[in-house]
Amino acid sequence: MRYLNLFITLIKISFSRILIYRGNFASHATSSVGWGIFSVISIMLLTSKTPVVFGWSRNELILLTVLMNVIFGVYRSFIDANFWRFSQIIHYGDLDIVLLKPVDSQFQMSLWIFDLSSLLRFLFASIFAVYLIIIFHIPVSFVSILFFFILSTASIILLYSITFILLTLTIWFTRLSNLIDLINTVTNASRYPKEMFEHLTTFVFFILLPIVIIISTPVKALFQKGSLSDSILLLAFAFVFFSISRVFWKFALRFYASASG
Amino acid sequence: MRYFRIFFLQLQHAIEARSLSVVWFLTSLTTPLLMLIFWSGATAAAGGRIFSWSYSNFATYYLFIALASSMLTAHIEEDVAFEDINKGNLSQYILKPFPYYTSKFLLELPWRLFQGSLAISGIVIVALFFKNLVSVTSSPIILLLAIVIAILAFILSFTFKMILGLLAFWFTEISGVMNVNEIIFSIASGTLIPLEFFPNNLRTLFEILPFSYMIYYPIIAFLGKLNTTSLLQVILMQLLWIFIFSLVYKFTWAKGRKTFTAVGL
Repeated sequence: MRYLNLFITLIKISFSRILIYRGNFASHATSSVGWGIFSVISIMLLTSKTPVVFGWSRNELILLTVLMNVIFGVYRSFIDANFWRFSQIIHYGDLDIVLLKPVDSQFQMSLWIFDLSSLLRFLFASIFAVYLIIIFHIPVSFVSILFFFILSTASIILLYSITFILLTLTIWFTRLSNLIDLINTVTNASRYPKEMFEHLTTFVFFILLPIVIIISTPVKALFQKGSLSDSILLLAFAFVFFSISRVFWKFALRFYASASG
Repeated sequence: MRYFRIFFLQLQHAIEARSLSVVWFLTSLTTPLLMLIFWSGATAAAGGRIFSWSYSNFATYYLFIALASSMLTAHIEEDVAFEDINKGNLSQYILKPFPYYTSKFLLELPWRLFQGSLAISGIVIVALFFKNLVSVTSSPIILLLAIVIAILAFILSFTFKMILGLLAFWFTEISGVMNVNEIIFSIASGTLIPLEFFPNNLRTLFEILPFSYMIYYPIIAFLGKLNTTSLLQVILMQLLWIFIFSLVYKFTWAKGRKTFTAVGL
């Protein structure tokens, strides 16, 4: 309850910040929506010469990308902005301040600032997704929508956990300020269907597996094409990776050497 | 001589911070690899070829995209906007006895060379393992002209990014502009897909815009897809754009510098 109150207060502060720095908000909102539009245009360009790729039709791939924007819109709004300052906090020794506060340090590193401009991306993508579902005549039911929401939540937890685990490495490699760029580029693999990666070597496929199921699994559930095994795998990965992120962060803190590191 | 000193000092810094360069290189490699995996399925679904492009052509193209992104694409705009103009570090450059443009060029060049060398090493390794996958022109004249095009592409990219960074003189928050530029650049430079795949009217537009001369043309020049006349036309277009951007840079720098204020030195 205490953390929920804190979370709400932090969101209120973010809203106040929007009102103070309106130009920044407009700029971030433009670029966030712009990246969303770009992802849709890019998949339309990529599929312009081939109607079916990896068993997914062009329409399904476009909808997959739009729904990716719905999920990423939430992730970018509430979590991602914190990760852009992660390495800076550690590199400049500001983690001292985080550790001194009577609030869980992982919470502070993950849910302290919000980029509410990305909520516009979520909003536009949601409206566009509903429009596409109607014009593409994709059958959805109440149950499939419910599964989509449950699995999308697991996807966000999994995406968060993978990113957090990798960023925790900056406790040791403090100069890797650009690690978040690499992680965000790699996690972009999630916007493609899982089947695209199945013909890679088994080793590479298993490394990429937690990432490639992030978007395609909830989307398949929405299309009523999902398999039970994929859904269980996503839920299990979300649970396991989140637990690892907690343990690994606490372990890594033992090696934190403040500004002298 | 002093320019060489600055260059070598920065090269030392780039080598010292090699882990950053490796991560940047891996970042620029990831998207082309994803594209490559996508096209492997798309070409298979289309019967082996799309628009005369085989999987091998795609592989070479996207490996060179990774190389061009690491070596030819300048990333100076954030440094200029956030470090120099927003934080006030520009003061130290104004006091130095050489132009700001030259200073930044000598600071950027070593990073591009170091990251480019990582990309070249990667391509050589791939070429050794997959003998028929990477094919570069064997004609010495075309190769020479392709090298000229690559050098001009870097100068073009650098000058454009300097102008982009200088916009921070007027807009304190320019990350939105940078993101919009990145989106247009990804499409119009051929980074996402080769320009051949666009409809004719869009392709004509992209051939006029400067972005394709920073990435697409240097790559297809090395791949031997252009004859000598076309290569000379590309060089002419690059020189034209460099001239235009130089004028814009001079104007922006002259006007912007007057608006700059810094405290605390």
